[in-house]
Amino acid sequence: MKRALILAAALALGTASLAAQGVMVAPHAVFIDHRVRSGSVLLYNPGTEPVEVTISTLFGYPVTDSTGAIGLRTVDAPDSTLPSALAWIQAFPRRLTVGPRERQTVRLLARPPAGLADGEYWVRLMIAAQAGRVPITGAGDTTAIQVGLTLEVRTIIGVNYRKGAVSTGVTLSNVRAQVLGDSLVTWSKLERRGNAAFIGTVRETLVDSTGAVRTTYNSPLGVYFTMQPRLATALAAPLPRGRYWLRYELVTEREDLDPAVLLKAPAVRDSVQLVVP
Amino acid sequence: MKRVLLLTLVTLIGGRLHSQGKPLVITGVRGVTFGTVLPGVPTVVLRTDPVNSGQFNIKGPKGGPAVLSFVLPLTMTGPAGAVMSLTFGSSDAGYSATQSIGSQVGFDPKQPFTVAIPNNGTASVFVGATVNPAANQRAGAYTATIIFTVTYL
Amino acid sequence: MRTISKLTLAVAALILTGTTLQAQTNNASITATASVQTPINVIGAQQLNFGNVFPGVNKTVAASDLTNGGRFDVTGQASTPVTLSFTLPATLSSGANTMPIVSYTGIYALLATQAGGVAFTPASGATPTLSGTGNLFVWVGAQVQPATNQAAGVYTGSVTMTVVY
Repeated sequence: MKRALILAAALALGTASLAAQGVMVAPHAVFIDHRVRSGSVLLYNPGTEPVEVTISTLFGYPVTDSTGAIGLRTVDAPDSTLPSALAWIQAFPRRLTVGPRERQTVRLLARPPAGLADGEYWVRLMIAAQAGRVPITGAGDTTAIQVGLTLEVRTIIGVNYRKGAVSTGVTLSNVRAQVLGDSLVTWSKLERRGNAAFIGTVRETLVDSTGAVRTTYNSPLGVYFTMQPRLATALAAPLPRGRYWLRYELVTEREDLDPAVLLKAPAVRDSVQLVVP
Repeated sequence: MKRVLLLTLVTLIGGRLHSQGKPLVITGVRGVTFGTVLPGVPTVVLRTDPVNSGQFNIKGPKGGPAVLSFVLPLTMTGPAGAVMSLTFGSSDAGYSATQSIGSQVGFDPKQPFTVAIPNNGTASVFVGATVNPAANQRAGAYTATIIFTVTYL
Repeated sequence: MRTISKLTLAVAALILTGTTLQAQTNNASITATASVQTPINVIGAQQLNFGNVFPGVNKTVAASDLTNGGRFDVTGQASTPVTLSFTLPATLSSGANTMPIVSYTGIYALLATQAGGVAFTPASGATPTLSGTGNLFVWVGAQVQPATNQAAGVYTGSVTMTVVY
């Protein structure tokens, strides 16, 4: 009887293969000009099932922790000391369904306060997509235990609102480099200048004592206040013993953003020596 | 007989000289707009799209056959010299004797197409296309130029 | 006769000239425009699959389980650092009945094979970097703990992964 009950309770569970669900979000960073006061984000569903999406806003900016890992510091109620656009940038619609292979546009509308000072103001957009439901099978068997988990994905992207004269730049200091295991690891201190976030790319070039380039690494980066990022890249092959130079450079260039939205600033560079024992 | 021949010839000459008095004007009315394009996701603009399709207007001498032809780009050019594939299908152009996007005869823009221009001398041609961005297509604005030629026969 | 011939020749010349003038050609150009925007794409690629569950018998699915582990796929710009955080249910519900789900584990890797994967604790999040081709794969495992008298039913919950880009 017990065995029969156990067998009866054996679950026919919702394990049918579930097609991947989610939405593409483009662009992944939005820049709004005060003269236009609006922007948009395109959502595209490449899947075969409709995806329910909800949109919300929050205030936050990237920071680094003590290990150099980049994270988002969020502030629930930003005060006037922070360049927040949370109170006056709204997204419409807030809830929508994106059908299979369909595109939908989310509009961002800004109503800045009168007398807003020139500069750049930030808000973060959260796009939450219900990534499909578990198709529970065997529902006719009332003695079965069935377990299903819904997957939900949330994507947070930056929205930068620019009014009037905006400028950016970054100072670079404390550059360090080390080979750890099979990776080249670098650290630096980056301090933003101007009144707008530094949106650009870190370019690393490792050259040996003969001047030959041993490896290169490019990483997109946004500096909003001060950061001390740790970046690591895998080396294709172990480096021979010897002295190397790492060239570390920050440029306001991005392959993943329209050049028209990037604020130009002079490149900053430094070089450090590292020894592979 | 001599007088009849003379009058006939004068009429013919007069008629052709009269038609030469009205110029042929081709106008680019609207470009082909793909809008936001995602890497790896082909984007299509149909020639029947009233907002995003390209349009040329023809205004010229009334009546008669004409040949329509295009010089079509193979790619669109973007930032830092990046290129993106652009293709035109066998029915991506449409001729409308009434200048109505809802009333077109489709044709292949890659081939010359002979039409009969209506007596009022006006007509339109609509254009669609497909962009094929690579999976790692560089972000930014891309453009290309489509040239349309009309030759009255 | 001579007059007629001269006149005929002159008229013929005019006719021939008129035929050449008839062939008009003109052209115009328009511009095709497009704006390529690099997307960020996060999908729930594979559900967390517990298979058969029996009352009183805990069942674990490891994050290293390529077949049954829950998997999220992230696609974006190459070498971009991202921040991952998770909202993880402590119980699954079926009406008024609940079942504990505990011991969440995670692995992120740049390849779908999990080669070179890094283990992490989903409750603490992770800060990986997308691969040189802009890819990242994230697996989640857990353990369900049905009671010996666990009521029959469909127990559900939602696992949320947030990606800060």
